[in-house]
Amino acid sequence: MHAADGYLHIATEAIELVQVFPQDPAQHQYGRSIDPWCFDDSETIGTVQNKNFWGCSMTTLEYDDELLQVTNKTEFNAVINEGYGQGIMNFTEETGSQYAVVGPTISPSEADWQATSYAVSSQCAPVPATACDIQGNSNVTTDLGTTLVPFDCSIARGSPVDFSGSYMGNTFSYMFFDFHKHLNERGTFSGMEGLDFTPKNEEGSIIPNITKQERAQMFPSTWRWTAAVTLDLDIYLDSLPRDMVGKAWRMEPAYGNYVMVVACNTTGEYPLPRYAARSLFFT
Amino acid sequence: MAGISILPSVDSTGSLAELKYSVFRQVNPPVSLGQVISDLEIGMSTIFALPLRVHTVPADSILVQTRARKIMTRAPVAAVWLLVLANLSFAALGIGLAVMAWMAADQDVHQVRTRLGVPGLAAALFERNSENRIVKSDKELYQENDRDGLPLVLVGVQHTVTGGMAWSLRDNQTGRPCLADGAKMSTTYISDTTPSISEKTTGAEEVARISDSSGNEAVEHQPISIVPSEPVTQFDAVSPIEQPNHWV
Repeated sequence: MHAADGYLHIATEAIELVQVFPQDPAQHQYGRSIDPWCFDDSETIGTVQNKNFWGCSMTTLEYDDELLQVTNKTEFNAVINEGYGQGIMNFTEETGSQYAVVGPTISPSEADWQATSYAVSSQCAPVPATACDIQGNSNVTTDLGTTLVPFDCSIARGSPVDFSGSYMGNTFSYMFFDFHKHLNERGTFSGMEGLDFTPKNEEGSIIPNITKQERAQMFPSTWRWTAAVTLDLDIYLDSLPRDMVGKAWRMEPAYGNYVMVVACNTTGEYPLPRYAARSLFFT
Repeated sequence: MAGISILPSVDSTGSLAELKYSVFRQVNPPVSLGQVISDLEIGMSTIFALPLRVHTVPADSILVQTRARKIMTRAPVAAVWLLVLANLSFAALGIGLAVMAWMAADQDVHQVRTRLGVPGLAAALFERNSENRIVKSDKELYQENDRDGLPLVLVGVQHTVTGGMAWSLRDNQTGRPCLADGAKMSTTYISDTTPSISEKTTGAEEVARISDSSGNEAVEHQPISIVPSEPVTQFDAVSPIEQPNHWV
């Protein structure tokens, strides 16, 4: 009996027991869904502000259909003013894919929760300098005197995409290849304002007549884009990280710096089917 | 959804232009190609997700739970049951021994047991008359003194020559020292208090003689209830303890 008592004393240990109390999910709205207002095209169909064409986040001004402006501007500006990354949750999958998830507006600090939301995920690949013709000494300038560096990259030489254009010294610029069935950006990394409509000069007849059924065709499910980031090298090291040699673009003599150019695919995810079954948001 | 994100994200519309420099600062200074790519991926995704904050509304959760933490004790099942079984078998052993003892117990055992308690030992000192009988309980070890005519005995202690104390009994009426029948054990030593060695010797002889004459065998070994009161008297009569004692 003493042996049994001794064994019990030795084998006994203190553990932390976690009790779980289910809560009513309807009382805790940590998920996100698209504002129903976005799908209501009744007021805009037939006009150049047709939501079926523009989506609900931007449209042309009523008094000037040449100017685009965000809708819900007060709230949009509030979000922008909160700053980069506010209200966005980051999540990295085991495979390394990173997701920017729209988080709940109320932070549930004391609860474990699972909810559906929207996420944006991007995969980028470097456009190596060796895959491109980069004319740093072209002496081409804009009307304002800014030096242009024409470039031409091809898949045949190792670029993830075929594309060409001109770099004009922006610290950081990015460009969508095809973000809308009828719209595209002017220039490449050129900072030129405005969007071009294709087919030309048919805005007035096409935009008002896009129906609810056609709206899904306006925007691609995968957004292809490219970005050029000036590398701000550490002055004391004054050299590229070793694995970026041959990848980063050297812009001399027009610009005395390195630029990293990438080509990316971005997808939107809803309702995160793979993660809903897992404890993605468990605190 | 794509439409909500993309249009404000288009660089030339300028809506998110301020935020893209946050991504620029995240990337720089470059540490490695992989880190630059990774920072760009999550940075731009974060920017693209921002318009969705504006145009989405709260929706029901799938699951919500709260947790409470408590410190508990965890012990192996084997240890608990081992202890329980050990206790039960110990109890069973006790019950078994008790039953065996009960089965084995006879009249002698009962008599011995009665005399081994405090009442039994006290009776052996002060109530030799009753103590020798067969008794059913402690009570019967003692003589009832509620009838007239029975001599009362005072119980006391007295000094011995060896410097200790010994019990001493004294007749209430005569004041003479008396001892219950057969209380030889203290006689010899109490007599030490007497100054005369010869008296002591005599006393010892007397005691021996009285024991023989009064049916020593019966007194010593047989728990006979009928113990004559004469030996007491006889004993008293020949008791050497007639010298003044120190009564305490």
